[in-house]
Amino acid sequence: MVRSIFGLFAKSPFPYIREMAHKVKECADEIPVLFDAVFEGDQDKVKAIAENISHLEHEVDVVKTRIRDSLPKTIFMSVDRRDLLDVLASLDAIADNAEDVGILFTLRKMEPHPELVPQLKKLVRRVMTTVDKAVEIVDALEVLADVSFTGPEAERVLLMIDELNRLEHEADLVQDALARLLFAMEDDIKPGSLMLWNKIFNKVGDMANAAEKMGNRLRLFMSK
Amino acid sequence: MGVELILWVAIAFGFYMAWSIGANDAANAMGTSVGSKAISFKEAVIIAAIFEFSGAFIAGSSVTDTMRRGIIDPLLFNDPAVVGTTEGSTLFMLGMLAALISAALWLHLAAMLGWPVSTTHSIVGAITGFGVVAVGPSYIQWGTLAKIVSSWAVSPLTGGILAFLVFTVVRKMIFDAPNPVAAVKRWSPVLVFPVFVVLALVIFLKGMPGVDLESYGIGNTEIWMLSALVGVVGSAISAFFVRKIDPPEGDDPQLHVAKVERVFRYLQIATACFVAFAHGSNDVANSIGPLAAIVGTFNEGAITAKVPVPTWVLLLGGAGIVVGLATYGYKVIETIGTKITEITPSRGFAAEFGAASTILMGSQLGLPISTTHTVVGAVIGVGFARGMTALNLGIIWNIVKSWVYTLPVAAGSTIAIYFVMKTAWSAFISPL
Repeated sequence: MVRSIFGLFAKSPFPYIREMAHKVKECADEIPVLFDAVFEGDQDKVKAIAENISHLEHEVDVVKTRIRDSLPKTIFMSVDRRDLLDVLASLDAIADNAEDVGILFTLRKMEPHPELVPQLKKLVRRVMTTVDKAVEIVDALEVLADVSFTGPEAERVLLMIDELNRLEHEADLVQDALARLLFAMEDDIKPGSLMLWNKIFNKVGDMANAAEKMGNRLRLFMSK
Repeated sequence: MGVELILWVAIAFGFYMAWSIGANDAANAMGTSVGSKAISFKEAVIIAAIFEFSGAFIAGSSVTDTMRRGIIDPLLFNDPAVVGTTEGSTLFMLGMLAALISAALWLHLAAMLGWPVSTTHSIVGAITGFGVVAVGPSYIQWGTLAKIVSSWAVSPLTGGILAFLVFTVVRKMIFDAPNPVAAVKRWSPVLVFPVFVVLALVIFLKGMPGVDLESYGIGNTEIWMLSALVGVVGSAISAFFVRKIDPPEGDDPQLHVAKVERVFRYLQIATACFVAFAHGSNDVANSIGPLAAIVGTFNEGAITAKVPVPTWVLLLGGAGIVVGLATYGYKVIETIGTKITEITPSRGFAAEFGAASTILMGSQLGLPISTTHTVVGAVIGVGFARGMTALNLGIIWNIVKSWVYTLPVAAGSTIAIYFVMKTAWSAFISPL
């Protein structure tokens, strides 16, 4: 009943964005597990993990929708509303790509070619480092919102975003090398397999791309 | 039975009016402090009760305009050619009573709906309504009314700009410093000086309309000197207290911000006390003004432009504000204390200091500043300084609408109540 001038304050979206980022991380963290199952050749386990990823992706969507709904046009924020929605979309894209990777692995049983395995492991590791960095940056947002996205804390986060860009670039290099490796062995590989692997690399790489994109959107929060 | 009846009903409604002010305005004055968790809501009620009451009782007007802000000339009611009857003083008392009832009802409704409306504007609207039907629109000082309408923009804008500046300065000087705790130790005595000077000036110039400072040999120069002295004392006290603060180990920004905010907590409590005092001294006049006019007319048997405010009327007003705060404002403050998380002591301080400075400037420049409107503007100003992570613009729009409603609603309901009472009076007591 009583709103009075205190209704002027809306709930800050930043704690929810943090919640969403951690859901995304939970979802992305299934990717190494998924690859291990593929390397073990355990297709039932692959299916179970893919389903779990799908389930987690849905939870991310739920949080995302809740944040969007809590940002009606009548809310004035210390950051641009469009930039904030872009951050949500990029975070969401990380989970979406993870889900796609899971689905691609369930289309057919993928043989883990011995030459590919070490490079694949490397790619997954690089991508996961990139995603973790993105989540770490989101964790810093709440404090940053408290100090109006300026000052030494903002400088620190900007450095973290630079680091994120660097990590994404490294993941890209591994992804390129992997593609080269794959097409070098195109004669020994079934066409379907070839196509699927190529798609899988791209989707895994896209997780890192989405993480980078999110970082670059966050950068806009700090630009005046 | 006769005019005593009006007096008794006026006393009852004067208390009701004060109660509404306590429920509506006093809660707003304490709101940012509770919202930022600088004080608990129980402490807020106690602080507000002490300072609102002492403001009302010590510094509340001992003399008040019978017609708030000169909307119409009360002496017109002595002229049968204007009011069409020789019973002008009875008509006047009935009108004041109608204004009191209507303003109190509107304030109560606004408090229920959560609209921070200005008590002054409610009373002004009510008196205008009565004036239009009693003496005719040609006698209304529409220029005064236009000035009040302009305050819808002036008060929040000035409050907003000042709060914006205060918050920006605080952020640049303290929060953006490499070592915020060291910065707050260095700057807080500097910051405290203007704060206490402004607060002291607010109390001297605006908060004590009833105390004849000149008779104590206190002129303008002395007021400024005394205020500067208060500033120096405040500054010295703050220097003494911040001396003991140790910067946290390492440079975790969260630890720093937490320590800095603790310093602002005290500043905010100080500003809240001053605002409550100034509010009590000013707004008590709103509740008791029409009552004082009725009492004065009753005692004198005729209408005068200015009436003395008897001590018992001041007491009634002060007590009404406190009771309103305790019975209804209590709920408002509790809601705030548990619902708001987006305001920190430094932001609350910027808003309250911005508002206090605006009130001071307004009273010095003769601008029609409303405390309520200024506080709302100041809070928004801090929001625009990128201090708040989210502001609800929908609510701001609702609040602005409620400001616009205040004058016509108070005027309309006064007219209705006045006609009912006038008819009843003519039918049952004596023809008018």
